[in-house]
Amino acid sequence: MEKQAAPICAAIDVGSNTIHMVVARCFPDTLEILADEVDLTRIGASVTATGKISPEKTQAALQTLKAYQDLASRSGAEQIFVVATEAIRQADNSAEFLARVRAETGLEIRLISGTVEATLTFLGATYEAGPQKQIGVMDLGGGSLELVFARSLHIAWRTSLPIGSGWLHDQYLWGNPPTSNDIQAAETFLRTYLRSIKLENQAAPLIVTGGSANSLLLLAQRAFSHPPESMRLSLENLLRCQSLLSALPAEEIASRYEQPLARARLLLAGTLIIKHVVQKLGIQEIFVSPHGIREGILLAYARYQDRWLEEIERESEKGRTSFAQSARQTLAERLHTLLEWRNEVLKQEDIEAVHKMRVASRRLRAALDAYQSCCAPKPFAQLYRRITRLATLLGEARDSDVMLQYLCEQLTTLPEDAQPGVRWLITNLREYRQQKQQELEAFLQKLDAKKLERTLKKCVQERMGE
Amino acid sequence: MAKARPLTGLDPLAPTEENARIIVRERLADMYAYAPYVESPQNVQELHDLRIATKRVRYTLEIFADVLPTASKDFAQELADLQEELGELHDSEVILALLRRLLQESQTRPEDRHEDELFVQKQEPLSSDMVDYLLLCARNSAFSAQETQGLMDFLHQQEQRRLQAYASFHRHWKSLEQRHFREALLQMLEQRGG
Repeated sequence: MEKQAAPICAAIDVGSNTIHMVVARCFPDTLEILADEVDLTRIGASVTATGKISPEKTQAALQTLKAYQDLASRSGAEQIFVVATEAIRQADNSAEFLARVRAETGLEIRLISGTVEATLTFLGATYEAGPQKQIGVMDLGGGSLELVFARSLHIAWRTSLPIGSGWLHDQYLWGNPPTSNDIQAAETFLRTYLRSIKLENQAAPLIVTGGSANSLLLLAQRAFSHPPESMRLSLENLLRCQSLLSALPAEEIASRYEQPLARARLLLAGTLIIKHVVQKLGIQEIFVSPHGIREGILLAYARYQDRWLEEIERESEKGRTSFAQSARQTLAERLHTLLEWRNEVLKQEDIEAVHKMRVASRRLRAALDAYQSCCAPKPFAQLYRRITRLATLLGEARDSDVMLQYLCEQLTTLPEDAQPGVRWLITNLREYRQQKQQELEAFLQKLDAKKLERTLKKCVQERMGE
Repeated sequence: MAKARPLTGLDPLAPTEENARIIVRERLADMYAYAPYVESPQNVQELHDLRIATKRVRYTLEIFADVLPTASKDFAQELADLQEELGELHDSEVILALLRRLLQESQTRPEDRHEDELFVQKQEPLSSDMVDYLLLCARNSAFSAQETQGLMDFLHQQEQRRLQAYASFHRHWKSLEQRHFREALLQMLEQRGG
């Protein structure tokens, strides 16, 4: 029953190196893959060379997309989702390219950001992995590298770096085979570049996806009798592949080890990038996954239907803000809102101003309670005391306003002989309210807003700097 | 509002979402620690504390609404409704405490003294600067018989208000229990994405 109800959809990813399609019956937690096609169009090569997608590459992409449309339709796909990543993001004529594809195929290509790409890839690459306390996913494409780490499958950290196998090949490794000087230059670049990037060493298993990783696994199986059932590649396997790829021209790699020639040309670049990231992270092995962004799209669609991209964007946004960053932002906003009411309360024109300022003080205190662990204890205690005193004064004023309002309303409904007691209450409560207003005004007039803001800044900064 | 219990196990460098889930779970546990007290309206202080704890869960859901599943907004609204009912109960408690103490004060004067169990406060009233101020006023100016009678009538009316407020809160609490509100909220926290 469930199988019949699950939709069949296609997801196409227009990347720097490849245009790749997966057609699958989509369930929220799994996929039944019906077709998986890849074409090494290498749009990124023309973007790296000229900044634009050339007419030839546009034509090649159109041809591939039309063929995929046909295959998707024959496979029973109800919908086709197409996303474009780094090469299209970088191209000066990307809008023109997207319009041309729309006009000639009717396909709407969605240009996605690096972080959305990372989230979708993570979703696709991990759906078969099962529960893992910590896990990392690296998607090495032709134009960029996306790295995500998650705890209990919640994304904890991610980055998108503009280095890909196609890009590194075009910059440093265009010799066939590349000279040792070229390889050394590429390695020096990677070492220097990655040194400047803060990659969090999460000591988690790292899943690597993308064309390079999958081709490397095949190369290891065919050249070094790597067990076909193993998706694991050790650092030693990577070094052996690097030696082989450095020694032989692409044509020989392609013919000896049954690799597409275009892929064989890029494989050394991919190997070097994976090796340097692995060394930077201080790990000894990777796990290769054939799944990635396309599977991520199909799972996202099964989970969220038409809101899939919106939800993935929301998810991507979440992982980008650390608790400490959000503390700094939220606390500053809430303190600012609180202070904005000061003049209104001092004007005494509307009792609602006291209410609004009290609500703002409660909201700030709630945020301080929530973010206390991000704050330095001493300035936090100073700030909290000050806000609590203000909240108390506002509370006393507001509570008497509420009671006065209630008593006045009751007065109209009480029998005549019951009214004097309530009148006594109202009279004395008004005096009390007046006294509280004076205390509140005295406090607000002395309140140094700049000092409070400085204390807040100190309290968040000091802790973050620890 | 007393200071909230500081929480441990939070990681400033971890994503907000991850920490938010921990905080909501902890605040929810604090709120449900008062569950044994909801069956009796006599548990004035505990019901007041429950109101504060409910408010904290609600505020936490609101602070982190952007990083929690969209359904968190529905839970926050449900808690806002519960908090409103507990607020009505609290307001009536404050007025009752005030009226009882004012009348008790008037009865302590020798010329007006008589025993009436109505004025015997079995439980400490909720402390309030306002109540203290009005008591002081009462000491400084004697109530007329008419004022005393008016306050007594008003007190009876407030007793009714309090009973109604408690009944309304209690009905809501039971309905939340039947709908497994706590479990549903915890389950929502386990969801990824919207």
